[in-house]
Amino acid sequence: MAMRWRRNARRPKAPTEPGPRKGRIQTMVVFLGLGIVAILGRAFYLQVTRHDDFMKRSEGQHRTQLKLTANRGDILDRNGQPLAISAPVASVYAVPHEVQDIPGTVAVLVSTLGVDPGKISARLGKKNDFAWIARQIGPTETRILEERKLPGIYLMDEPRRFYPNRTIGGALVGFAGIDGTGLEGVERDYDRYLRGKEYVLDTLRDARGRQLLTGGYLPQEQLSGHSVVTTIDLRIQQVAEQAVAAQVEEMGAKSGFVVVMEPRSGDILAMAQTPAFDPNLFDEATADEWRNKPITDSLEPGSTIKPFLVAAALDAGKITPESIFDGHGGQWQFGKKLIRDVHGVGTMNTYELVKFSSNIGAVQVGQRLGKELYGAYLAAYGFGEPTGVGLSGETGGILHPSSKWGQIHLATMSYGYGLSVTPLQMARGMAALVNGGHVMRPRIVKEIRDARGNVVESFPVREVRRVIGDAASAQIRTALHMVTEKGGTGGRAVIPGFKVGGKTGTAHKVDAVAGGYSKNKMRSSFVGFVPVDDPRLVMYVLVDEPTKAQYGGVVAAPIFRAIGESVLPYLGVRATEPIVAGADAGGTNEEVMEAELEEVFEPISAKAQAWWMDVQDPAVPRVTVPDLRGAPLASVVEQAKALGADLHVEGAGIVVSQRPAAGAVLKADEGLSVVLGLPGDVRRRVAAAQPAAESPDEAAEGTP
Amino acid sequence: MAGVARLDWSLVVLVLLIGAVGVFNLQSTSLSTGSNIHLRQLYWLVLGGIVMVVTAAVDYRHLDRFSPFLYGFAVLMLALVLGIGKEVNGSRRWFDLGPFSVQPSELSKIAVIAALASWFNRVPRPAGYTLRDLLPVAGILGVPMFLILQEPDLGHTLMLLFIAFSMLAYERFDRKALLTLVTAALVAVPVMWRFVLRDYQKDRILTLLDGDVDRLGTGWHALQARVAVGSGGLFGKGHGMGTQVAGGFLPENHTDFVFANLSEEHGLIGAGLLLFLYLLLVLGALRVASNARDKFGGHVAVGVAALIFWQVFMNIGMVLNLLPVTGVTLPLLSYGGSSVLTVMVAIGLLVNINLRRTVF
Repeated sequence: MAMRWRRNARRPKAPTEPGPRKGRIQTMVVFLGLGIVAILGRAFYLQVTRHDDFMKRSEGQHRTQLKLTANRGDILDRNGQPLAISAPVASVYAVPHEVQDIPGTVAVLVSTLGVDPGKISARLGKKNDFAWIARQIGPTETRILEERKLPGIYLMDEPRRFYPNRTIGGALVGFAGIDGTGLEGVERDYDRYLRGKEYVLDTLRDARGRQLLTGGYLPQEQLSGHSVVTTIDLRIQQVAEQAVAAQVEEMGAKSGFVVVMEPRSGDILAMAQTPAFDPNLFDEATADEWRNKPITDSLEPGSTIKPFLVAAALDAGKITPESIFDGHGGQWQFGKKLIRDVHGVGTMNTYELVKFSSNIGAVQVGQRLGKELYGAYLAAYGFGEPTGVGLSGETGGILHPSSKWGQIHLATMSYGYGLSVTPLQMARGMAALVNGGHVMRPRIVKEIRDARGNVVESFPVREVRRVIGDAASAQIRTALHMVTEKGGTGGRAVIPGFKVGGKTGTAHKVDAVAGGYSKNKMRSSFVGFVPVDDPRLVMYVLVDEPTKAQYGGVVAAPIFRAIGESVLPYLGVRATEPIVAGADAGGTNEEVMEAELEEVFEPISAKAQAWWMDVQDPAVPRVTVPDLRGAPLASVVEQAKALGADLHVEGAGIVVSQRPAAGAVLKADEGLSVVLGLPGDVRRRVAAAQPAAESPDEAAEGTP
Repeated sequence: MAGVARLDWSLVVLVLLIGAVGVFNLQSTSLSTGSNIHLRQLYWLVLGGIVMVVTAAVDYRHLDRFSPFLYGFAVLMLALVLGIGKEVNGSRRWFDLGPFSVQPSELSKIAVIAALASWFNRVPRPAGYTLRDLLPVAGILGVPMFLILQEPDLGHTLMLLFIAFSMLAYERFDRKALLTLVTAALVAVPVMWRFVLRDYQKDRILTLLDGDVDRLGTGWHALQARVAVGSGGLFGKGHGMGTQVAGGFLPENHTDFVFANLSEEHGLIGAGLLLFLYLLLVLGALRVASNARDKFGGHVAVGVAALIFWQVFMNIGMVLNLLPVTGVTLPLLSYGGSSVLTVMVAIGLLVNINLRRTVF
C-alpha cells in the first residue's frame, strides 16, 4: 500500500499528502462501522426485542372480522318437498389490474353474458382491485367462463333463492330479496327462522379497508337458517291451482281462489289463486299479484252463509230438522222489503230450506234465532276476526256487532249480505260445521327443522273454541249432502264414489262506480266437504266475475269435484258409494240453480246503503308504497313526504332495500324504512333492517 | 487501456449480488401487487451494467478536465427542473420524458463529487486548506444544494452536504478552517430548522421523535415501516408472504421503503446479510480510494464511498425510524432508473480508478 502511494506521488500535477489521508480512511472505516452497528442495533430492537408488539399490530391491521349471513333455510311442503331453496350460484367479478387484454376480455364477457360492452370496458379500465361483472349467472355461462380462465376474471358463489315449483304456491310462499331477506308470504313471516345466523369470518383487509376476497365461502351447517315445514301438500296445491286456473279460463272469469283444508286439524293443504305468480320473477310482477288473496281479500258470502245460520239455529235449539217454514209461494213481504225465492214453495222443512237455498226460509230462521244469538254464533265461527293463521296481511273481514243490526240487517245477513269473510274463514268455518263444531286455528306451518332435519319447534294443532255440538254438526252434514243430491244446486260437486256435502253461492258484487249491487257481476262460490260421514277434505272455491255462466253450482262446484277426484285417491280415502257411469247426481238443472240467485233489493236508505258498501269497500284510504330501490336519498325523502310517512334511513348510497315492499299498502301508523348502499357492494348487509313480522291483529283492516 | 486481468472483480461481484437481491425483493412486490416491477428493475440493471462498463472504460482522468462541464450541466438541469419538472406531491423533482422520468438530483451527486475532486486536485494545499480556500468549495456545493432544496428535496440536499463533508474529511485544514467547519456544522442545525426546512419536513423529524403522534399523517409512513420491519422478526415471514406490502399499508414499498419489505419477509438475518454486502462495497470503495494513483481518483473514490454509505445509512435509518423520512433511495434495491444509473456510474468510476491505480 505504502508503495503505491509513493508511486502515485511521482505524478507532479497530483502531489499527495499520504499521511493524513490514510489515517482519515481508517477513521472513516471506524465511522462506517459505527453506522452499521447503529442500524443493526436498531433493527435488532425492532425485529427481536419488540417483534411481538409489531406482529400483533401487523395482524391487527390486515385481519378483519367480516360479518356474513349464513344460508337461508328451505321452505318445504308437508312431505318435505321443496317450495323454496337456496343454492349457490356463480357471480362474476374482475380484478381489473390483473386483466391483460381488455378488448379481448370484454369481447368474451359480452358474448357470454350479454353485458354492456361500454360499461364493462370502463370497469376493467379502472385500476382498482374489484369490480362486479355480472351477478348470479346461469350454469352454461358459468361453465364457459370456468373453461376460458380469463386472467383477472373470477367467479364466486353467492346463495340465490330458488322457487323450484315456479307459480305453484307462489303467493303463499312469497319471496326473499336478492339480499336474502324475506319480503312477502311465508318468506317474510317466518324470516326469523329461515334467515341464516350471522357469523364472523376472519379475512384479510388492505390499507383502504377493502376485503381481500378469498373465494366463495359456504357457511357451516349449524349456522344455516332453519327449514320451515308447511302444512301445504305440493301435490294438492298443484291440482288445486290447475283446476281453478282451467275453470277460470273456461268461464272467462277474472280470477279464482281455492282453499283446501283438513277439517279435523285445520291444516291448510292448499291455498291457490289464479292468476298465479312466480316468485322467481317477483320483480316482474305487480304488488297486487304478490298478495295471498285467500287471506287478504274479503267478500260477501251470499248463500254460502246459510249452513252457518241453520247450524246455529239447530244448535241453539231454535229449530229442528223437522221444523216447517212457510215458503210464501216465493214472495214474502218482510217489512218494507219484498223477499223472493225464484222457485216458490208452500212449505219446506229445514233440510229443504238448505237444499233449495231459500231466502224466505233463511230469513225466518234468522228471526227465530235472533240477532244476538246469530251475531254470537257468527263470531264464534271465527268471522269478523283474523284466523290467526300466522301470515301477515290477513284481514278479519267485517262483522258488525249485532247490537247495531236492524231487523232488515238480520234479514239480509241471514242470506249472506252485510258481512264480509275471507276464503280462509269460510273454509275454517265449514271445517268446524262438519267436524263436530271444533273451530280450529288454521295451520300453515307445521314445524321448524334445523339444517340436519331435527325438529326445533313445532306448531301444534289448536282448537280455538267449540261452536256447535255433535248433533247439530251431524244434522248440517246431512242437509249439505242433500244439496248435492238430485234436485239440489251442488250436483256438479259430486265426486263419483263419494258422498259430498256443500253449499253453492252466487253473490252480486258491489258496483263501485254505479253504486249499489251490480246486476251482472257475480262471485260464484262453493264451500263443501267430502266424504260426508267422515270428512277428510274441506274446500272453499270462488270464481270472480265469470262471464260464461254465473251460478256457483255451475262455475265453482266443478272445481271442487276436479280437485277431489284427484286428491282423494292420493290421500288413500276409500270410495264408499257405487260409481255409476255417467251419473251426475241430480242438480244439473239450471232452473234449480236459479234458486240460489238472490233477488237483491234496492237499499232502503242511503244510510243502509253506506252500511253495506262499507262491507266491501273499507273507507280507509289505501296508500301504496312506490318502488324506491335504486333511488338516491333526496328522492326518497321527497317521496316519503308525499306519502306522509315517517322515514327511517340506514347506510349511504342508493336504496338497496325498503320496508314495506313496493306495492304494499302503507298503514296509517307505519313508517317507511330504507337501507342505502352501493350497488354491487359485496359488503352490503341489509338484514338488520327487517322488523319483526307483524302480528295478525295489526294486520286487520279497519272496522267501523 | 488496462487489461481485464487488473479488474477488481470483488466490486463487480458485490454489485451483481446486491442487484440480484434487489430484483428478488422486488419480485415479491410484483407478486403481491400484480405488477412486473422486478423485470423492469432488471432491465435498468442491465442498462446500468452497460453504463458501468462504459464509465470504467474511459480513463477517469478525462473526467477531471470534463468535470466543470458536467457540473454546469447538472446545475442547469437542476434549475430547469424547477421550471418544467413534473410536480408530484407538491415537489418538482422529475423530468417527465414520457415512458420514464429522470431525476437530475440523482445525477447531480456524481457531478458534485467530480467537481469537488477536481477542485481539490487543481488547488493543492500541502499545508492544509485555509478558510479562504473553502469559499469556492462552499460555492460548488451551495448552488446545487440551494436548487435541490427549492424542489424541495431535503434528502438529496442533505446527501450532497454529507458527501461533501466526507470528502472534506479526506483533506487537511488549518486550525481556523477546521474550527469554522465544526462551528458551521453545529450552527447549521438550528438555522436550517428555523429558516430552511418547510413545515412538512419539520413534521417528519418530529414524527421520528414520536411516531405514534399522528397515525394517518406524517407518522403513517414511519409507523408502517416500523410495523413491517418489526413483524418480520429474526427470520422474516417468507418470500412473498409480507402483508404490509400486499395489503397496501406500506407506501413507496418499491422505492424509498423497499428495505421494509425485505426486512418483513426475510427478517433480521436477511437485512443483516444485505447490510454486510453494502459494508463490503463501501470498504471496497475506500480501498480503491487509498490505492488511487492520484488525488483526483482518491477524492472521487471517497465521494463514491460516501455516496453509497450515506444513502444506505439515510435510507435504512429512515425505514428503521432512526432518521426522518426523506426521499433517499437504497442503492440497487430501490426501483428506479435514475437511482440505478447513478449508482452504476459511481461503481464504474470506482472500477475505473482501480483499473488505473498504477501506471506502467
